[in-house]
Amino acid sequence: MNIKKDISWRVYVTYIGLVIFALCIIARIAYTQQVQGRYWKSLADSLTTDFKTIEADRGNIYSEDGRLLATSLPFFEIRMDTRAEAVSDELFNEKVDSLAIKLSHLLKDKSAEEYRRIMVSGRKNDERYVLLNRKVTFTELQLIRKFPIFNLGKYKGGLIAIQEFHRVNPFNQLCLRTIGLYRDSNKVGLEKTYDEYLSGVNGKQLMQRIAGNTWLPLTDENAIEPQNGKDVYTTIDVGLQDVAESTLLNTLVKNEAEHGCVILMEVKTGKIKALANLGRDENGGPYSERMNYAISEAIEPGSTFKMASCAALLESGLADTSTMIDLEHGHKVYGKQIMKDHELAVNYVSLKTAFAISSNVGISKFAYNAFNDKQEMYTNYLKQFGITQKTGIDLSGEANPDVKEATSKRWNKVVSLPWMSVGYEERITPLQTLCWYNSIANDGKRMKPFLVSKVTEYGKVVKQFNPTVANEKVVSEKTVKKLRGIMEAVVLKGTAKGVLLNSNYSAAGKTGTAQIFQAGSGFNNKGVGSKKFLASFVGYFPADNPQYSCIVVIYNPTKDKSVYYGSQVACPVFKELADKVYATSTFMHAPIEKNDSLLHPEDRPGFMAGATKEIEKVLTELKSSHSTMTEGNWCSVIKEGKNYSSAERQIQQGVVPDVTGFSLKDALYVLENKGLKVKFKGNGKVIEQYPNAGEVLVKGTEISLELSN
Amino acid sequence: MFFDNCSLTIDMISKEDIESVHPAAWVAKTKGDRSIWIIVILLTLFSCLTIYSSTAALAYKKSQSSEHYLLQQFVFVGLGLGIMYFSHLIHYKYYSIFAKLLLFLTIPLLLYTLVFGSHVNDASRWIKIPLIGLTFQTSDLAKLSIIMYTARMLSRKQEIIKDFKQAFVPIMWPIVVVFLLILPANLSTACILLFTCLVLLFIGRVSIKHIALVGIVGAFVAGSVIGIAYISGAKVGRLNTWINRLKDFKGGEKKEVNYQTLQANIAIARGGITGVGPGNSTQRNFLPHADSDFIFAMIIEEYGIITAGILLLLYLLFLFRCIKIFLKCPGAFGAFLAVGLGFALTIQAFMHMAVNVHLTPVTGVTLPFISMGGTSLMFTSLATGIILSVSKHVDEEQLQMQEEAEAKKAEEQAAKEAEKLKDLPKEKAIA
Repeated sequence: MNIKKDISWRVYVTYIGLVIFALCIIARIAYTQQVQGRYWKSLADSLTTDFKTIEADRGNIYSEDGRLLATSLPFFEIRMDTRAEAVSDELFNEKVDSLAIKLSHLLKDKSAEEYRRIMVSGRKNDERYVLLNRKVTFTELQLIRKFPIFNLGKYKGGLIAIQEFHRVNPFNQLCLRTIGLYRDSNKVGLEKTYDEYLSGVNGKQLMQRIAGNTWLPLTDENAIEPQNGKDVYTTIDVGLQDVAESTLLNTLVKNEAEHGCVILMEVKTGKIKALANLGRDENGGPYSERMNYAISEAIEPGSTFKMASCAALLESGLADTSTMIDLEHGHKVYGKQIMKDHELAVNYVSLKTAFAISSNVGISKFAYNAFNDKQEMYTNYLKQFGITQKTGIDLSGEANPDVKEATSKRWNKVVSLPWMSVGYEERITPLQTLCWYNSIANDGKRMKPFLVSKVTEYGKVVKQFNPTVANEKVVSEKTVKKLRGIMEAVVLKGTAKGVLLNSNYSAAGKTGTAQIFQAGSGFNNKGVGSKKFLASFVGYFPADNPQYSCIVVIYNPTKDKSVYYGSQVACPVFKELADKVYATSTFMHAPIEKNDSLLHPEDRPGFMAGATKEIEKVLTELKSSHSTMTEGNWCSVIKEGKNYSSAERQIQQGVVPDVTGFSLKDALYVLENKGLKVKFKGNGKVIEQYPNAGEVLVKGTEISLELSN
Repeated sequence: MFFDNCSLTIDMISKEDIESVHPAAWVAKTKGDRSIWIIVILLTLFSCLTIYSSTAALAYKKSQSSEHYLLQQFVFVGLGLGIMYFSHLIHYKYYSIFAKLLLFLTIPLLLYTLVFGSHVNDASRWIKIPLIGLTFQTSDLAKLSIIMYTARMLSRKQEIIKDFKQAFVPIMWPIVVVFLLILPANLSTACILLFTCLVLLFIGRVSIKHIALVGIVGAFVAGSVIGIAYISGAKVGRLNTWINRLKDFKGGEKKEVNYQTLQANIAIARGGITGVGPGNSTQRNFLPHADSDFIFAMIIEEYGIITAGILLLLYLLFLFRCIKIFLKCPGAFGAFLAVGLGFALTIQAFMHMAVNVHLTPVTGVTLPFISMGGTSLMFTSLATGIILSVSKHVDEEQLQMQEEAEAKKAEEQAAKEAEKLKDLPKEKAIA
């Protein structure tokens, strides 16, 4: 055989070999497609694409002045893929201890040993999704990424972080029950009432997973854009809410009460400015915003209900404030039931006085005398006043008032009228009581209370909630005047005498001290100790031009067996809140009188020293005569008679400046710019400084100031 | 007789062939097997299409424009065709010397790579060319040089080819050295290279007994390396990866198939007869190296089994044309060069496809002309250029020989006729 032929057949054999190999490849493709095709495709579908929900951002809840009450913050659930690519046995065993220690140290929820055990057993069982912590902040996550093992890389190190939004209340407990809770299962409060605005609409997007568990949006057409939730602005004033809550807390703690609530409402509009609810569990734990007692707890109101009886009497004309009545020494029998009064100093009084001293016998006798032959008339008046209806506040969970009618089966012709007239045999919520009082303060116009003033989207108002009148006139003007008169009498000479007096403004209202009906034993407990009382005060201020109405209800004070009266327990809370409101509401203040010292230039105080421009502005504003101000930024002021003049305060390089006479603000500005650390005590203007002015300035050293008025 | 004119004279190459010529003359200058030119141009154009699609996810992740890798590939294709053009102008005779030089360059480079090369997944395969800053896989260079060198040795030793000492040993030792140097970093490439060389030896009439011996020893070496690693449980470098891949192919205890195979199979299944259409691949996002080691699977997904078949046919046609050149080539070196390089490229292509369709264990083999990867395309182009050079010059020589033969014939005829003419007057004279 010649060489060429020898080679040729070898080439052809090899070539045929490759052709066969090519056929195998084609056959293999056909096999994968035709025989196993369905299996692979189903695998592909389940692996690759998915409709991912794009969660809409939930809107924020703000206070009236725009402070954040509730917002959503991202948190991360962190898990560990214990079989991540780069985590070898040696590496894991070497670093797991330090990782556990660092996690424990940072998150403080588990001991290092616990963390170690979780990770080691996870790795032993080849778990790729071991839960480490459910709620880690973004800053913490940044740190965790740098921990041993996890620092090997985004996926290689095995750290899995799942972002979730959690609802956060920046003011913590403040107003929490009213703001409400945002949970998937059971929302409460404003979070529930305004959920339709807050929640927005979740979007959907067909996403595809690409290598490394990155999800990539697939097409534009399939996307449903999420609509972010809108922001809700409440009528709540954080400052007042804070006062209400802290005063209430102090009172509850002091009296060891079960729970209590405070509502502050703007008379003319029905805006709720503060709404505090605090309570504790049966075991006497710390007080917290557990329930919205103010709107959900319908209880027998006691004496505060007497105002309704008086209104019915006055409106019907069957009695007047000056109509006299015999108190029968505080002991009156209706049917088989005895109505009692405590410690009466007088026996024959007017309606006004009976109300002011909160005589049960007096008020019930008035009601009995006037309405006994026409009991339906009495309950019709209650209906007219709006007491029998819900207030309609924009907060879910308002309890129905239970005020029975004279025609109902539950009505007892003998005892129902007298007992109802003094606040028993009906159940109403504190907010419903307040609304009734508010309509008196508002000249008979009943307002619907509300908590949300507007809804905004990207800063634009999309919905405005205006004050709503529930009833233009619940009682006549004449009656309003008389009712306000008898309420003022409560504060001036009645049950709240001395407790509410304030030189700057006057208040009016009614105390309430009700015995709480207990299931099983009723009112007739043996011994005072086991009796439960409800101490309340409801009123408005200033008495002559009502701006705010307020109710305070304290449930079962137990500390001191003799301290349970509304005037003792509830009034102080009312006063503190009213003082705060008055202090911050300049429109309520009386104008400066003509003979006030500030209007007489010679009596005005002299500035001592400060920023030249600011001093000039004040002097100009007050129309004080002054000579031309100095050129320098800082000056001392000298006052001679009516005239002010200024002298420059020079701030020199390398020398401690003279700040005596400066306010703390100015002193801090000057000294800290010089690199000095300021320490101070007292308040007012700087009267002394050390080191003294003119000494050599050493940056970073301390300078101490003494301030005084 | 076939190998008599083994040594060709250099004066056959015209000076213009080496000189650079202005563009208009390019087409006229471009010679060599037309079919091979067409196949290569078709494949490289197709590569632009598939790479544009396969790098979509890569571009997204690296936040580059989606055209980034396409433009890059355009540049590489242009460069590759340039290399092909210029290398085919050079007479293949020179590649005999070039082969020797290249091999002596390759061996130290392989050593250097093993020690200093950049480590990608524990495998030191890449080195950086100083000044230019390009990285390239030394095994690509080694492949080209060892096949060229083997072609040279085979052509020189044809007379004594069955002799063990004088022919087999000198042919074999460079192959073994290169094989052992590539082996630690890239077992699969080393094995494919060894296999290709053995095929070449078989074609080159080396004793089948000797080839079998090499095959057995080679298999034993590779097998024992894996075996030792497996038994000792060592987790050093690449050994672990090899074992896992073999386990995966066998079907390990825990996972049914490994991730890459799973994704490749899904891609193949999704493709069906005609494919999901260009750019519609979803598996490119899951397939690791969809643009290089797993591009065939993605091609099946986008273009279907029909296109895959056409692709296979193109490679077979390419090889067939190489064999044609081989048959035509009067010189042994040129013949072995054409067929050796042709087989090398085709075997590599088929190995790539076999891995992709899960006929063989997973290993990183690129698809010649189609996979993305600059330097590998450059070496492929060079190899093709050399094949074309053989084709071009064989055609020219044949033409020349034909002309010469015709001239000779004409001369002879003329001489005959002259003789006839000489004879004629005699007859006339006799008459």
